[in-house]
Amino acid sequence: MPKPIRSTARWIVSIAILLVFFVPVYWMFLTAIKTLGQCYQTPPSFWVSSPVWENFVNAINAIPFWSMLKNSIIVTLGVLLCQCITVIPAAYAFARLRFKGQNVLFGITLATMMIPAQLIFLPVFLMFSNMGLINSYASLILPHATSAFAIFMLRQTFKQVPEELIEAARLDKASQWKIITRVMLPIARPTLVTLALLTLITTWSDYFWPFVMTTNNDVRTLPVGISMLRIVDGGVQYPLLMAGNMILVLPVLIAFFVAHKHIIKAFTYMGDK
Amino acid sequence: MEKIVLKDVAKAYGKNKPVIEHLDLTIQKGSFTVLLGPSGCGKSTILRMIAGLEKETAGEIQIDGKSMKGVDPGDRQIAMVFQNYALYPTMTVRGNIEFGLKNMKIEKSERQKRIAEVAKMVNLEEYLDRMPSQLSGGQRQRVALARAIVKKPSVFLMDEPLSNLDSKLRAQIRTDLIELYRKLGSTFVYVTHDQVEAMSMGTDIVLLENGQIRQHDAPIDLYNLPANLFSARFIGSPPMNILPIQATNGSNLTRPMAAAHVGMRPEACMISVKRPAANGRMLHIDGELVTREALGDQTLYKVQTPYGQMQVKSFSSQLIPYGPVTVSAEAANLYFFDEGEQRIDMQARSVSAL
Repeated sequence: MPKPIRSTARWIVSIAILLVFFVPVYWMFLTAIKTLGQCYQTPPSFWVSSPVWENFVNAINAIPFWSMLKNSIIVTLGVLLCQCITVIPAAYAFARLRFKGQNVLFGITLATMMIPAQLIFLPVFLMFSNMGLINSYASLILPHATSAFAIFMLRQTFKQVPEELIEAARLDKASQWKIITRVMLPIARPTLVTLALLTLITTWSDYFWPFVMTTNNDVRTLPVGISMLRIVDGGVQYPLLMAGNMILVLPVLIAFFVAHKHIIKAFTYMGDK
Repeated sequence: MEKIVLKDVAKAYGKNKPVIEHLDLTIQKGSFTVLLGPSGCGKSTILRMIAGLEKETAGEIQIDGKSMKGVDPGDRQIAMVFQNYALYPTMTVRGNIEFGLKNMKIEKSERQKRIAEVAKMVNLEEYLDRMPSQLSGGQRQRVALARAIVKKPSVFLMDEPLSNLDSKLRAQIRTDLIELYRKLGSTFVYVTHDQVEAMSMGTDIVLLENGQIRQHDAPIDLYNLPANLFSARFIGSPPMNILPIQATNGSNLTRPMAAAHVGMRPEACMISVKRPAANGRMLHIDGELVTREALGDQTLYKVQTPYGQMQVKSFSSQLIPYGPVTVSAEAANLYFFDEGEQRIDMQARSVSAL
C-alpha cells in the first residue's frame, strides 16, 4: 500500500476508535448540563449554550452523597489494602518458591476467575447474613479481598525477574522479605500500578455487591446512590443521573491520567538485562 | 593453608544421575583458583555450592575449617560476580553497591567511605548516581565487581564474569582482575571455559570433565606436564597434536612400552618442504598442507597426515607453500600416553628402545 493511503487509513481508524470511546462520555457530560426538556428534544443537540451547573448540586443534595462518598473511599481503600496483603505474597510464592501441591493450588486459583459473581452471590449473601455482616463494611470488602487475576498477573511479572538477581540479593544478606520489598516489587511497579488501578475502577464503580449486601444506606457506596437518582420526583431525571455519574467517574479518570504511563509500561516491560 | 575444602561432595538434581560425585577439592588461602572445563562439566555447580546457592546432595564443604552446612549464602563471608552482572535494575550504581552493606548493618559513615574507596578503585566515581540501564557492558561489569569488593569478603567467587564482553574489553578487565587480586590478597575462585583466562589469571587451575577433576596444578605445569589426554587437548591453542603411537614407527625414537598415543604441541613442531634426514632425536611425519593462516607474528598450518590432522604454529616469517610437507618434532618435546589416556612420565617409567 502506498504511504499516503496507509497513513490516511490509520487516521480514519484512530478517529473511529476515539469516537467510539469518547462520544458516550461526551454525551453523558452533555446530558448532565442540560435541562430535563433539552434531554427529550428531537433532534438531540450536541451543544448546550447555557449549561445548567445546578444539576450537580441537585444530584449531590438528592442523595446522602457525602456519607456514600465516605463509604466508597473506605471500601475502595479497604479492598486495595486487602489485595496488597493477599496478592503479593501469593504471587511471590507461586512464582518463586517450590512447595507441594503448588500447581493444584494455582489451578484452583485460576479456576475461580471463571465463576461469575451472579452465580455465588446468594450463598455468599446467606453466609454473611448468618454471620450478621449484612450492612457492614466487611460485607463489601471481604468478597473482593483477593483477586485471582492480580495473582496471575503479578506471578508472571515475578517470574520474569532473573534468578541471578535473587541470588545476588541472597549473597547480599537480604532476607526473603527484603528481596520482595527492595528487589521484586520495584521491578514489578508498572504491574502493581496497573493492577491497583484496575481494582480501583472495578471496586469504585461496583454496583452489584454493594446493592446485594446492603438493606439501608449506612454503608452503601456511591454507585448505589447514583442509581437512586433515577427515581427522584417520580420520572427519570436524566440530567441529575448523568451529573451523578460524572461525579462518580471523575476520580477514575484522574487516576488513569496520572498512571497511564505505568500502564503502558506494564504491558511492554520485558526486564532489564 | 586451606581456605575452602570440599570433602566427598556429590550433587544431583532431582532423581537424575548426579552431575558431581565423590569430589575432593582443596582451595588454598590467597590463591586465584580457576575452575576450568567445557560446558556441562559441573564447574558452575561447584562454585554455586561453595556460595551456598546450591545445596550439596552429599559430602561437606568447609570454609576456614568450618562446615558450611546450613549456613546462608549471606553469612559465608563471600561475594559473587555473576555472568550477567545481576545488578538491581531499580537501584542506582550507588544503591547497588550499598545494598549489601546496609543488610550487613554497617554504619552510614563507614558505608560512604567504603563506596568512595571502591568507586575510585574501579573508576566508577562519575557514575554513582546513574541507573544500570544507562551503563555500557564494561561499566556494568565494574559495578558488579565494586558490589563484591565493597563487602570486603574473604573469598571472591566469579562465574564467567567476562563472557558477555567483547574481546578487547575482556583482555583489559583480565589485567584489571589480576591487579585487583594482587591488591586485595583475598582468595579468588573463578569459573571459566576459556583456557586463556585460566592460564593468564590463575595461580591454580582445576581442570574438570564430567564432574571430575582431571588435573589440579599451576598453569605452567598444566601446560608442560598434562596429566592425561584431556588436559593435553584442553590446554594450549591450538591444542596438542595427538597421534596414535604408530606414527613413531620406524623413527628410531625412545618410547615407553605402554605408550598408545604420542603428543606434541603445535608450537614445538617444525614444518618444512623437504624431509630432513632421520637422526634418532627427531620425529618426522609426512603430510599434505591443507590450510595456512598467516597472523603476522605467527603462522598456523594445518597438515593432513596418514595418522590424522596436525597443527603447527610457526614463528618464521617464511611462508611454506601448499603441497607435500614434513612435520618434525624433537624427541624431548614428545609426550606419551597409555591406553588409559594417562601421560607416561618418562623419568619414572622404564623405557625401551625400539
